Amino acid sequence: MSYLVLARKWRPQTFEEVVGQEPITKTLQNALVQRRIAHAFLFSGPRGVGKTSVARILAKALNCQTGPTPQPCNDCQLCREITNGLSLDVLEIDGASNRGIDEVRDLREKIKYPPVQGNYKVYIIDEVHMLTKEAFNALLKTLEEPPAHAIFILATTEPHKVPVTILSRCQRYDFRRIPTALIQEHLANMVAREGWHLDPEGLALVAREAEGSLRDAEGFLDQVVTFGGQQVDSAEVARILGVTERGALLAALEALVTRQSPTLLTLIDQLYNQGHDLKRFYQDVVQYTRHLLLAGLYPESRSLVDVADSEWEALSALARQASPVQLHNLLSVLLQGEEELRRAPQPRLALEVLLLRVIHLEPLAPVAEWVKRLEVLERRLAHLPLAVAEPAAGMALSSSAGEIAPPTPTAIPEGPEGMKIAERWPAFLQYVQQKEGGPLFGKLSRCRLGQVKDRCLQLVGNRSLIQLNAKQEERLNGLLRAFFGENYSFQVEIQEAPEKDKRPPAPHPTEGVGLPTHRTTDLKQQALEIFGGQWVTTGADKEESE
Amino acid sequence: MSHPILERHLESRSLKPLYLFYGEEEFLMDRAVKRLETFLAGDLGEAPLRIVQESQEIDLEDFLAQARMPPLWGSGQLLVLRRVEAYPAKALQALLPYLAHPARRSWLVLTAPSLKAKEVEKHPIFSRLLKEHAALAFWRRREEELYPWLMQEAKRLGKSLTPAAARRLVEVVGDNLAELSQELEKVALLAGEENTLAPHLVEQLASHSRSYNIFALVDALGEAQPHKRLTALAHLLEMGEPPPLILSMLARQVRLLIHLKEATPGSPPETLTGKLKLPGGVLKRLAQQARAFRLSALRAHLLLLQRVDYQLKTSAANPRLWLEWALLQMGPG
Repeated sequence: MSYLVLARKWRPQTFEEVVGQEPITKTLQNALVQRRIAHAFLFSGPRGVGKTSVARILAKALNCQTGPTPQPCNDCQLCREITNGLSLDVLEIDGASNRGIDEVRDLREKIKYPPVQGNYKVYIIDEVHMLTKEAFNALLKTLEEPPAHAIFILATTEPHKVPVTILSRCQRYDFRRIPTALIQEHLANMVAREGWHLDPEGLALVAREAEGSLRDAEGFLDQVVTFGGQQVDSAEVARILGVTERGALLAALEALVTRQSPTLLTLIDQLYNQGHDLKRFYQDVVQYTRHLLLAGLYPESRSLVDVADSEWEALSALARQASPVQLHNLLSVLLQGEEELRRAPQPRLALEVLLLRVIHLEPLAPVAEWVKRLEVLERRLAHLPLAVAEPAAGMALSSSAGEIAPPTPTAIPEGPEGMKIAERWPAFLQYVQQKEGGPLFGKLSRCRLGQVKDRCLQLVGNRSLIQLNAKQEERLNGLLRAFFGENYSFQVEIQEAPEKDKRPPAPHPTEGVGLPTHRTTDLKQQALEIFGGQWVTTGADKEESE
Repeated sequence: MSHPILERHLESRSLKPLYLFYGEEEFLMDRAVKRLETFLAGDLGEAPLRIVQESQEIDLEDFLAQARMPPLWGSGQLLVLRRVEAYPAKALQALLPYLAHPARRSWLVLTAPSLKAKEVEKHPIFSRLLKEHAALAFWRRREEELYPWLMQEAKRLGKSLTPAAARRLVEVVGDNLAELSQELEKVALLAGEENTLAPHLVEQLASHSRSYNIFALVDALGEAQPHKRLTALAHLLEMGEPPPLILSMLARQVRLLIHLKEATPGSPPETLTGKLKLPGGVLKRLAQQARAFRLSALRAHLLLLQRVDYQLKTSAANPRLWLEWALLQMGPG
């Protein structure tokens, strides 16, 4: 018999053999036991996770001579025919190459004929999302009321491309990526049965490369054995797959954390001479830095890091030598450098420069300190008279038009009552805007909140801008009481501006009285852009209010 | 039960020759048609000939002519015409002579999912059907009606659904009856011999549902432990969700949370439901989540997500790492 690739040789033939999709296989088996079989299924999920395999097993389970049964015998003629793709009752259609309306019409014509041998005529349409709109419409009618002997199994990697009308007529099962540990276990069984010798670390490398796809993992294993023979060690596996060996990655990270430039440069030189793809090495370093960060700061995430226990221990030990800020910054800077390296005409040079830059990121911690100081400064500025406040668009326009500048604000209201009201003032303005809008909101938005005493809010502003008529006063009182509670009132304090006011205008009230949130964020952003690094300490944030 | 009026007609064997089913809940409409078909099969002693057509495929006059033609085989026919509201008013006039002299062995069901109650009341022909109890409304169920409905459905499947499991199912699936019915069917199958459908069974299958997982990610975002965020993200990636899609779903959730936070305190939930175009149940869930966040933190998260979006679209770096990096920076604030 000609050579069969592993994925085909070890394709699961029973529900029990399917790896990593237990809730789905169990549900389907129970449906078969209880004879509650839907007339249309949709299997969605990434490639290589078992959609088509489960579809074929289901077809066998339905048509097996002992069936419908949750355990197809794989021995009867019908089962064998389905396994070999020879059954006349199981039609596997590739949606990508039979995507037109004519193919679906043909299917509709033939569906009325009963199965030749089995109990059901099973239509497996793979990559169903590739069908044209017209083909989907033609399929819709058939899916709605198929003959009792017909069962549809649609499989797709892109369920969002399948029309909702089709989706709603199918019993849908979302297949998940298979966890690396399960893939590794499955590969180990396979290797043992084939009589090959691969160490667990090598198998782990293969499993990790597959990224949740068992078929990919089997393909990689095929590749490894074809190149390396039946006995392959982890270093050889890494070389064949083009990934960097764990030892080299750990050494690179150690050099980065402990700031040993010569060691790092030597390592790069060795990898270069061994013919390693340096861009791939960098990607692996970034990935490993992520593992280092998790090992150091979030040890609860052990299950999310696909490394052996010994590697995890080594990473944890290394992470202890670095501060949390350093670990965070390491990942941030490396992540951002990836694009730089991709575009570099001389990858080796770019890699060396990038990693040396990471090593010499000496003032990383002081950046946080700098930002903290900026925040303190910012808060102090926010409490100052509006000399440094940002101008609101409308205000800037009035000033430039030569109108009287808005009044000079004083400090935010004092005392707990005042602070509370000040916090809710922007929300109140929004409330007024929604309820009333118009001139009243316009006037209120031009004044600012002064002191609050005995539930009386002082509104400070320029005469021409905030003077209210009797109706507006009454309305405002009503709104104040509705928003803040009974017994709240207001009084207007007119504050005329100096003749030539060179001060910038008042902040827009909706930005909040004494709430410098946006400006703080902007400053943080600017600081980060200037200094690089990332935002870690958010102590000041806690003091912000919503 | 399909529809109380239809059930009454079935019980008294006084079926109307033509029914109009209107309202947005097509799942219940389909069920009522099936109920009618089953009844006719029992009554006639054999399954009626069933013809289903769309208004785009056939003129109303031709459809009615088809109804007048007695079936060649069998003793009766059930004709269903979908989306009848698409016909112009003039075309609908053809119904009047048919209603005056309906065919004896044909039963007609016209469905109109986008027809509103007021439109039916004002329409010269539909209002007549309404008066004759031949126009039946199928409205979307309110959230509080969903739980008893689900429990009844579970009973129909021979299972008992706990209230907690019913709540979990609605949280996971939403308020679409067709989807709820399908998921309930799957949970019942997963349960096998087990008679009670408990929340753990819903969880087991729900972990395979995408809507569940984006909520789980936002829930985790509201907690202080970053590893929970990473676990929720890993779950979504295992489901095969592409990272840019996860990012956009996350950004959408954050935007909705910001809208909720920015809403005027005390504004009625109905206003928000309309403004955000979300069902009540989802809004309730969002409101619960919003409590865990500070507004300033949410705004910062949106900026951060925008930055990551740029990176995902312009660089070849590992998207998972970028998403994880962003999630580590995010939090309740």
